[in-house]
Amino acid sequence: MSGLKSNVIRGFKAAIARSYVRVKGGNREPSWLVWEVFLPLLMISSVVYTYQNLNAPREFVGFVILGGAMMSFWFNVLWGMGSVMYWERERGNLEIFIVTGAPLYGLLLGMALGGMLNTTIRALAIILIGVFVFNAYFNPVGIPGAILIFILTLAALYSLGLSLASIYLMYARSGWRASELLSEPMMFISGMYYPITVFPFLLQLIASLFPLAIGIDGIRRCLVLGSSINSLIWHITMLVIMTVVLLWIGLKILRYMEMRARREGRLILRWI
Amino acid sequence: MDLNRWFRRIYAIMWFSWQELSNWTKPYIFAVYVMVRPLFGLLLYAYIYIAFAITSGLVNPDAAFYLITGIAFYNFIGEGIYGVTWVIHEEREHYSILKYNYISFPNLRDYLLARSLVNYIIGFIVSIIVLIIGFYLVGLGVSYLNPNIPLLLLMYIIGFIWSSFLAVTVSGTSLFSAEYGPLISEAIAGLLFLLGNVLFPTSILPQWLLPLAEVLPMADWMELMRYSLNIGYQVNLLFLLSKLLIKTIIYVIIGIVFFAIADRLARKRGVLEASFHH
Repeated sequence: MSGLKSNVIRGFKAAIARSYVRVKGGNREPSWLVWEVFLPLLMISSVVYTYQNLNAPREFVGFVILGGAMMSFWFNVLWGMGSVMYWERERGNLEIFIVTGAPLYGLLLGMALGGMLNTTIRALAIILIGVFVFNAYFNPVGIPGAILIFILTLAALYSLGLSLASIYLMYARSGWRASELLSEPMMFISGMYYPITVFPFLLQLIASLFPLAIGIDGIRRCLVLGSSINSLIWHITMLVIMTVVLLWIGLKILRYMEMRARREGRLILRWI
Repeated sequence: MDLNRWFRRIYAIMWFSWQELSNWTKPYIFAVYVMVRPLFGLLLYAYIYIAFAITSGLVNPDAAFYLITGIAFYNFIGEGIYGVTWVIHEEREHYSILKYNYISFPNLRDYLLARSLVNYIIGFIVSIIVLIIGFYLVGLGVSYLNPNIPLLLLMYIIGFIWSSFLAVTVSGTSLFSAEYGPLISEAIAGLLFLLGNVLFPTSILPQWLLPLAEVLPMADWMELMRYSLNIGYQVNLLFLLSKLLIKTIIYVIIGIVFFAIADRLARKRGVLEASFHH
């Protein structure tokens, strides 16, 4: 068996093993699911009531619910995938993983797959509560288009998570702070609570560099504004390009950071 | 009581807190780090008003004043509560030093309060900066600034007292759980945001939520903060102030009693040095 083939097989086996732990661990305590739906709902409800207070058009409720549900994936990328190297190292698991010989991308792919599944359950719960409690209306005709854009958005987003995780391999506590720093700016630039068309042109241009902004916009167009999938070709093309580019960059950075971390002895360093 | 000694202790804990918060980077990067989240938080919520104004063509300066002041002053409470509630989780789960700090400071509750002072100072500075930038962002004129400075400062102090003791109560639960402590503290911060007159008046909430909003001091405090910033803002000053003072006293008593019970139970069960490896 060639070296590359055996490396890929080991990578996938590690991914399946890690995602199993992720899914099992993330759902072993049902109350966590309740908390993880309840906490984002507090913020989402605040914004829905604010729009109601301003007598804003009804579609804004749908914008907020979809934005809030999609934002859970960004938090999962940041805290569940990006900072995983930090946690694994702090708990002493990273050195054990490294000595198994399985490639690090397998670990991250497993975190991504498990995280996607867990977060999808939570995001769906947020959408259902949005429909039943806040009377958010979504166009059922737009569901296939929304699902396509959703899958492409997740692929691009978790590819970005690959780069983030590699950076945290080197910078532990600073990486933790970076995760905190990347929350509000991403919430804003992605248009979590409003369409990005309200931004000035330059800001719209910057927003279009982020997969989450394009994804949220595309899903909203399908489910709230009733756009057809043909009118979303630009969104689909951008997301496909982003996935390929971000995956390539992520794998390159991961390889480089792993080499550097091994050379500088950072794999077992804690509290830095 | 030896005040000098007491102040030296508070100073030492504040210095420790400052180091823990900031020594991972250079001071100017830390300053950027402290400002980025609140400023983007401001943009995030201010654009709710801007999005509404753009799509409807309507301008409502009163609503803009409400929104900007709510976001700005929430930073003070949010940052302070975080400063108290994360200490136990962080020191036990991340750094495993809670037991050492427990024996080096006479009282865990006072240690938590002292640790939070730096966060409250940061929250105070951030709230002022966010207020100034927010006013500029939504185009609010100086006519909305007619402050009563002594009242404003008094309200900051009262805000520190009730929110820190609310956070102390929450910290009591953190002693027993690695998972639920931080979750409860996030829930409290979220509830204060939802039920505290931050982005919208509590009067538009569903009836069943109103009693909960009434129990929390946040809504009264926020209205009084708005009044102290602009004395033209309509509130029933004496009624709100007396209500807030009574609630503050109740929260202080609950904080002291609840934490004392939790502390005693935690020592009895030996969980102070038990890491839950969440």
